[in-house]
Amino acid sequence: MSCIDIEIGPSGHVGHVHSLEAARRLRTSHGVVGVLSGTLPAAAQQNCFLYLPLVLPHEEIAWLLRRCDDGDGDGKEKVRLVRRQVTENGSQLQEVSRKQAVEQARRDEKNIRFHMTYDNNSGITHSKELDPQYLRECQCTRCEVYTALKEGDASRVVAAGSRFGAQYTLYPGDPLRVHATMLVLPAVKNNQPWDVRALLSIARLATTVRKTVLLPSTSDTKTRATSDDTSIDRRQSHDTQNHVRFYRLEWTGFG
Amino acid sequence: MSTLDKDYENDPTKDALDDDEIDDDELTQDWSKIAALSKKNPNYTIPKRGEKDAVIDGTNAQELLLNNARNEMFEALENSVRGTMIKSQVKAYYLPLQHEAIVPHPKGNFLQSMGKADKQGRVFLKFHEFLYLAERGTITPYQTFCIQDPDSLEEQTIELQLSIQDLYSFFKSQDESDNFLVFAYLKRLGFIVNLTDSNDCDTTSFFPPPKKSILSNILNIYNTIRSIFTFHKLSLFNAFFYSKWNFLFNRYTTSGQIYVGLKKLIPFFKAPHTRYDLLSLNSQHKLSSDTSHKKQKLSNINFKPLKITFDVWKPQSNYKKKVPGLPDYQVVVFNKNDPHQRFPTYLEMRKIFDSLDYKFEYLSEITDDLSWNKYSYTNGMLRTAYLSSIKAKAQQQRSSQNPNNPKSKKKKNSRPTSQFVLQNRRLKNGYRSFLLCVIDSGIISFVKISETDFGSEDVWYVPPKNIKKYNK
Amino acid sequence: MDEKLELVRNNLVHYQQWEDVRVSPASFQWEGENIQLIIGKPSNSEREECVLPVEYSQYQESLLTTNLIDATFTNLVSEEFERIVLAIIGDDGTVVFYYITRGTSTI
Repeated sequence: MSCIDIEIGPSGHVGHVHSLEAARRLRTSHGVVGVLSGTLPAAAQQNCFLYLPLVLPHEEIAWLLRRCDDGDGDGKEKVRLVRRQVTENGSQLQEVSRKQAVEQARRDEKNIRFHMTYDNNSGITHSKELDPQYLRECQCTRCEVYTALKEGDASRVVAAGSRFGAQYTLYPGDPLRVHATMLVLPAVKNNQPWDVRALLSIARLATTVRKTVLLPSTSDTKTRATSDDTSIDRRQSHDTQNHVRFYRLEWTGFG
Repeated sequence: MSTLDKDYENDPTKDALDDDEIDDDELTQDWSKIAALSKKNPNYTIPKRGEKDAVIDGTNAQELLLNNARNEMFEALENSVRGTMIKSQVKAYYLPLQHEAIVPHPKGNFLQSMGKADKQGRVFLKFHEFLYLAERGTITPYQTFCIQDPDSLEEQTIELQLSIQDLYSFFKSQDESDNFLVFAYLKRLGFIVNLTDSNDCDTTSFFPPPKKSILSNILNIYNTIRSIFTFHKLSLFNAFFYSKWNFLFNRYTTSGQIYVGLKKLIPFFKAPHTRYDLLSLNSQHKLSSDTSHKKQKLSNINFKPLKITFDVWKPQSNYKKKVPGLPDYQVVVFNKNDPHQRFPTYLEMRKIFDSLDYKFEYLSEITDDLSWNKYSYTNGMLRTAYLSSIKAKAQQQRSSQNPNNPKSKKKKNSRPTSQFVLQNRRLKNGYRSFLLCVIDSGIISFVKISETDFGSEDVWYVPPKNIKKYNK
Repeated sequence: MDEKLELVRNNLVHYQQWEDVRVSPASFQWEGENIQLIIGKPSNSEREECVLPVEYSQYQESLLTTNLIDATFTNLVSEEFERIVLAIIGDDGTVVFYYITRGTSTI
C-alpha cells in the first residue's frame, strides 16, 4: 500500500505535497491536480511553469481522505495528514550527517562540480501524522459542494476558480488536455435570494470563455435537520446528494 | 455529462464564439518544450502554450495525448535539477530562533536587492528571501545542530544540508506562507520586493517628518477645525439650496447649472489630486488617528484588517537596498479562503489608502523619476540632501527613464492631449492606488484598486462660450 | 395582465420576433407574487420554450431563489421541457434571457 503524505500548513486549511510521485498519483488516479507553487529551478524567471510543492485546498484534502478511507480509489492508496518536525534525536541527525559526508566524498571522488539542493527527505525533519478527523468530518459548504462535484466521476477535475471570478472551474478531465466546461459559483442556500447582478456578470463572462455557469445550492438548515435521521451513520451523513443541488445557467444567445 | 455535450451542440452561441480568441489561461500548458529546456538549458525562451481538446470523446488517441502530456510534465519536473556549481556555491544557515538565515560568505547578484549586511560582512536573509533563493538553487540551505556524541558524550556541532521540504515546514503562520507565494511570484518576474514594515533600511517617505514646533501644531489644529467647518458649511448650504425661495435668486437656464447645484447638494469624497492635498490629508490623519483608531478596532473583532504587505520596485540597476527610495507599487495580500480575512470594507479600504506611501504616479508636480528625490524624505530629511550627505551621488534611475533613451524623447514631442481625453484618463486611472493580491489556494491574481473621483469632474456638456457671443 | 409579463411578452413578440407567444394560464403564488410563464417558439427554432419573467433591482433583494425555480419546475413546467428561459428585467426595463436547466444533485 502506498502512502500519499499531505503536509498541513499552520492554519490547518491548506495542504502541500512535496513528492513528485504523490503528485503524479493524485493526478492519475484521483483527478486531483492541485496548483504547483514553487520556483522551477530550470526556468526561474517565469510564472507559467512552476514546481513543487503542490498546493491543495482543504475541501480537496477532505474529499481525498474520505475517498481513500472508503476504498473508493483503487484501494491501494492511503492518504496521511502530516506535519513536519525537526528531529530531536541526536543519533538520527548524526546519521544524516554521515550520509551527507558520504555524498560529499562521492562528489569529490568523481569530481562532480555540481551541488544539488534536495527537494525532500533530508532526514532532518520527519512526518508526524495528524488526526485527520477534523477534515474528514468537515461539513462546510465548500466541502459539500466539492464532494458533490466529484460524485459519480472522480476523474473530473475541480480547480480553483478565482481566475474567472468563480469558486471553482470544473474540467471534465485532466486540464492538460481539456478545457474547463463549467464555472462553479459559491453555493447559496435554497431559500436565499440569488445575487442576480453577480449571476449576470459571471454568465456573460462564461459565455465569452465558452463555459456554463453552475450554481450550487444547499438545503437550508431547517429542512436538513428534519431530514437528518439520528440513525444515519457517518458515511451516509456525508452523502451530499440530498444537500447539494445544481442549476445550470447559460446565456440564450439573444437579449 | 452527455446531456451537456448535446446541449453544447445546440447552443446558438457556439458558432458566434468559435472565432473568438481563447482566454490565455485556458490554453494548455505545453510542458514538452520546457522539458527540453530543462535538459539543455541556457538561453531559453518561455514556450507558448498549446491547443487542447474541447470535449472528452473517450478515444484512445485522446488518451495517448493525455498520457504524453502528463509524462512530459512530470519528466520536466523530475529533470529540473536544483543546485549550484560548487565553485559558486553560497551556503546559508537557518537560525531557528531569529527565524532568518545567515550567509557567512555572501556573493552573487541577489545581494543587490536582498539581505542585510553586518559589520563582519555577513549577510542576514529574511526567511522568505532565504526560501526563495534556496528554491532557485542560488544558495544552499543549511542548519547547524548541537548534538551529543554517544561515545565521548561531548557536545558537537554539525552542519546539515536542509531540503526544500524542511524549509516549507518552518513557516510560522498561514499569512507568512501566503506572503511568500506573492514574494516569489513578483521576484520571478524581476521586481524588487521588500516587506513594508521591515526596518532593515532607512525608510523613505513621501510625507515630511512631523515638525515639533508649536506653530505647526497650531496650524494643524487650525486645519482640522477648518475642515469641520467646511463640512458644516456644506450642510447649511444644502438646506438653503433645498428651499423653494432659492429659485428666486438662481435661474436655471442650462442643464449644467442644475448639475452644479446638485454637486453642491450632494457631498462627495474628494480624492487628493495634488501634492498639497496629500500632505494636508496626511497631517490631518496624524492628528485624528488616535481617536479613530479605537473605533475601527471594535468593528474588526472577527477579521484581521488587511494592511500593506510589500513595497515593490520596478526592475532597476541602481537600486540601493540600504536606502531604497519610494516604491513604485504597494501590495496588499489577501487570502480569499482564510476565514479570518475578508475583502476590505469601505472603511478598511480608506485606511489602506491613507497609509499608502509610494511614488504617487499621478502627481503632475513631479514629472520624472529623478525629481522624486526632491519630494521624498529619508530619515527625516529631504532625500536629495540625504543622498548627498552619504556621498552616494548615483541616483536611482530606471533604464527606461534614462534621458538618452529614445522612448522618453518621443514622449516630449507628442501632441498635447485634449481635455476630454485627459478627463477620461483621470476617471479611469484614478488617483492613489494599491495592488490587491488575491490568493486562492495557490493561484495568485493581482487587482489594482484606485481611488477615483467623479465628484470633482464636471462630466456634463458645457457649450463653448464663444458660441454664446456669436448668438447675441 | 401583469406588468412584467406584458413587458417580456412584448419583447418576445416585437423584438425577438418569437412565434405563437402566449401567457400560460397556470400560475401559483410565491411570497405574495403571482408566478406565471410565457410560452413561445423562438424564431428559427422548432422547440417551444417556457419563459419565467423575473424582476431585478439593484437595491432590492430579488425573489429568485433555488426554491422558486424548484417550485416553477414542479408546478408550471411539464416534463418535456428540460429548461426554462429566465427573462430578467432590469430596473430600466431592459430584458435579458438566460437558460436555466433543471436542477440535479449530480451534474
